[in-house]
Amino acid sequence: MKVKARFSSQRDKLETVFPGHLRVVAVGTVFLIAVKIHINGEEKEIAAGLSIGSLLESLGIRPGRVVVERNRQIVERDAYGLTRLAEGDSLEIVHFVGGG
Amino acid sequence: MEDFLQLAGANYRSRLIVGTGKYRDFQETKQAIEISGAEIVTVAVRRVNITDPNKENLLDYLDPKKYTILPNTAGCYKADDAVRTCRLAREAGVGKMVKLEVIGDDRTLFPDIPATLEAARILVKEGFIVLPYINDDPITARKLEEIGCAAVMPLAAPIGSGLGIRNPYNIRIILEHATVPVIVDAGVGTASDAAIAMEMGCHGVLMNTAIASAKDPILMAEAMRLGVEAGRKAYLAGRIPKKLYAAASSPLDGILN
Repeated sequence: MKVKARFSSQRDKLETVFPGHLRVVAVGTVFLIAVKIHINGEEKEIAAGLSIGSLLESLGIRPGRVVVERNRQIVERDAYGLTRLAEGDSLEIVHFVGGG
Repeated sequence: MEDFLQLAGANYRSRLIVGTGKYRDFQETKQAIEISGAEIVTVAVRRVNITDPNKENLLDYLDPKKYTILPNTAGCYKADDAVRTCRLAREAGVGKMVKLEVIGDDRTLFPDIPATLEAARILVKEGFIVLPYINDDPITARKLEEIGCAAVMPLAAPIGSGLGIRNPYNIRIILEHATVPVIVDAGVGTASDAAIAMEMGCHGVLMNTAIASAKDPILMAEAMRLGVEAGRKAYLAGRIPKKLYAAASSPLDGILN
């Protein structure tokens, strides 16, 4: 899904174009359609079409040290940049911790 | 004579496998593991804290090139969850050896054996090298070996209890029949417990709390290394039989009248 709306002004202007349920998030001066996803059980709002790679980067997570599962399917590291997130996706981001 | 722990085709000099939980920090973890001499270390798979993704990672302190990383399925109460955890762990790129534990009860942390068998079947089929944590039950050990597990890991006593080997006779029966390594996993409290396991002929000992929660974890890590080595050497040397009466160590000839 690639929904990208470019607006120079405010949220209400966008809502006049996309009335109703659509939500937006601001990325710099760019407004993007927002989608809700779950990351490690927490609901988060992100820009539609964001890749897993970009999400990890924005969260400050090094991709080399984690494993990502999207809707119960493991996403291979090579595919992080290509895998785009959509409304309702459920992500698990795990890593190794101390254990016995 | 070189003496190796042979596990799934690999040779390990150390027969001590250590956990990485409960340490004060990663620095202490690293130091204790170095002194323990362990070559295989267990880790757990958990969610990353996304609101505060800790920049430091356990693997920054434990070089996977130096250590064999053994992911566990601690905290899994269902076969499905354990299998899922193993698949995630494998994707992390540290190999395909896993410590399978499917817990049956949070007070005893005893294993759920039917679920352990179910998970082991799936994992072996998927090419994992499975090291299952089990009760000190020879029948379970046999079944898991038949499924294709690379070792069996009976508990000495409940996880973290420090009670030592509660049922040495069962461990002996497991040892007598097993054709895969028998690694005592959990319940060891101090170095003599580890030595006893090794003297009995166990192929290895796995522990975490006994080292990490000792007053001085670094010193205990060393004590455990020595305990395991002493026990192993005593086993290989062959102990004397226990006798009811004395047998003099000094010659009886030439005693002064």
